[in-house]
Amino acid sequence: MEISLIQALIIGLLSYLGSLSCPWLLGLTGGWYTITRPLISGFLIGIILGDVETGIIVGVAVQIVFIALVTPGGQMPQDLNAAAFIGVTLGILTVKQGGTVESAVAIATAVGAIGTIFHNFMMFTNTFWNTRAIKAIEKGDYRGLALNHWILPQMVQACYRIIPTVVILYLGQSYANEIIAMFPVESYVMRTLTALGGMLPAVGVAILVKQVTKKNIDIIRFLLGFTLVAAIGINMISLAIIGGFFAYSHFTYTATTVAAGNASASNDLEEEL
Amino acid sequence: MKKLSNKTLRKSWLRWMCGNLSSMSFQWLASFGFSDSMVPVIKELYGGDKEEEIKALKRHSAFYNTEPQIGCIINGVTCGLEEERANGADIDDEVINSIKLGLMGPIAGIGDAMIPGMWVPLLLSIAIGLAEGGNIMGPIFYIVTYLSSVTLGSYYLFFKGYQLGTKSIDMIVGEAASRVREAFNLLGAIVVGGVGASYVNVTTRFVIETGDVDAPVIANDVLNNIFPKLLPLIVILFCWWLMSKKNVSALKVMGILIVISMAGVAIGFF
Repeated sequence: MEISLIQALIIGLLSYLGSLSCPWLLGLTGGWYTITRPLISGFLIGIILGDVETGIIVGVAVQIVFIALVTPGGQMPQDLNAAAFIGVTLGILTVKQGGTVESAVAIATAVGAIGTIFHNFMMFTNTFWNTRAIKAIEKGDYRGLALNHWILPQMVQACYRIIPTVVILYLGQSYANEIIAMFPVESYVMRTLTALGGMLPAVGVAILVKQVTKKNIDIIRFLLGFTLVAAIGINMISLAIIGGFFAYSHFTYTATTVAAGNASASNDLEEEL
Repeated sequence: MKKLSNKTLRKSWLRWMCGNLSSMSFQWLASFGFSDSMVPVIKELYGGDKEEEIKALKRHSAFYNTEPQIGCIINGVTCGLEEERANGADIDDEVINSIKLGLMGPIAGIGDAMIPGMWVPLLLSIAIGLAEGGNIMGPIFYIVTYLSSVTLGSYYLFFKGYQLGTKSIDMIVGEAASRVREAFNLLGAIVVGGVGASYVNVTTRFVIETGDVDAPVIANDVLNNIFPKLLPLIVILFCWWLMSKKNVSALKVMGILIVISMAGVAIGFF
């Protein structure tokens, strides 16, 4: 399988449309949270390259690594966008050339780590447009604000996303095959990347655990969910229903005690704020 | 009596939904996304009075960052406040700013826990199940359910915030709200537990030779007999401990995991 220049360009364009700051697909909702999910990007790249099935299979495998990724305050431990477009495409190529899905995941993980450079660079250069936007606001210049908020940062962002994607996919595809061939599945590098790929979701999960627990003892809630799935093997919808039952009970139960312990309730609130 | 038209409110919602992070930087994040979303509102309320327009724009260009999709409710509340202010209510810049700043924190917390923490992994888990063997139902399910639920939800929250105005502050930071948040945190923690058990994958190749060639002790099986998926659980708790107790950033935790996997493979543990 070979990627033509047109195909590389379309994938590059999708990568831009799915990047965190891109507004054109209803902002985060249609971009970052929809087409940049590797499951969806794998599907779309599969359509572009003419093999939807392989696209989805690789997409699912990469998606699992990044399932719990949260980006609090724009900080990114992994650049999902680079993993979802550059990584998944290279992964599909590898699988079509006889590589395993695991090595496809390893490649996407490596690309995701390197991709954080693009993201941080964008966050850095946007400061320039921000200072110009402040000047426009001080003059009440709506056009200047629109230019420095919508147009110019997005033109730069499009370059950050489209150029590396096209260059790596179009010019790099032959090298990629050679590099992959250099590292068979049982090699040190591939085994490290596979082990890392298995552990990486733990970072996202841990960020979330940190967010939803106030006291250390709250970790028991996380352990309940973990145990139900690990030991009993129920699926996610069932878990959501069980969790919903506990959440509802918690809500109703605290409602009856709150009148008696109003003071403690307001203390809780202060802690949260 | 000035009244914002539905058309203006819809415009403001759409501008926020699309452009919230368009010019994001470390220093400003969603600041200009917010001020830009207020442009149609400012034009309608203060149109013609350039001085008031500039004052209003400045008011809405302070530092701002929240979960943008659930955060639509704050935009709705702010539109309501601006309307009251334009009608002569005694609301100064300080009030509007402190309401925005006071709400963005709680909403960011609950929003991150609900959207990327719960709703996205939940829908993805179902979609991954449906996508088995490369079935296109998986991605299509996710695209349809995520886009429709979040778009409708944020539109509803925006208008709810506008209608309730300052009353919705009680809804977000009041006593009942803190109970709702606590309940969502509980649900989130349980769902995240399931995500961790399903998708964190750590196994060891470590084998203890017993002398009997046919029956070596496979460490991974021993560990799983103590508690299923013990190794993934240890890795998750280790990351959590580093981040919440030692204040290590997520990026550094990833670096530590890279070192652990390199060392682990080198000594034959992974």
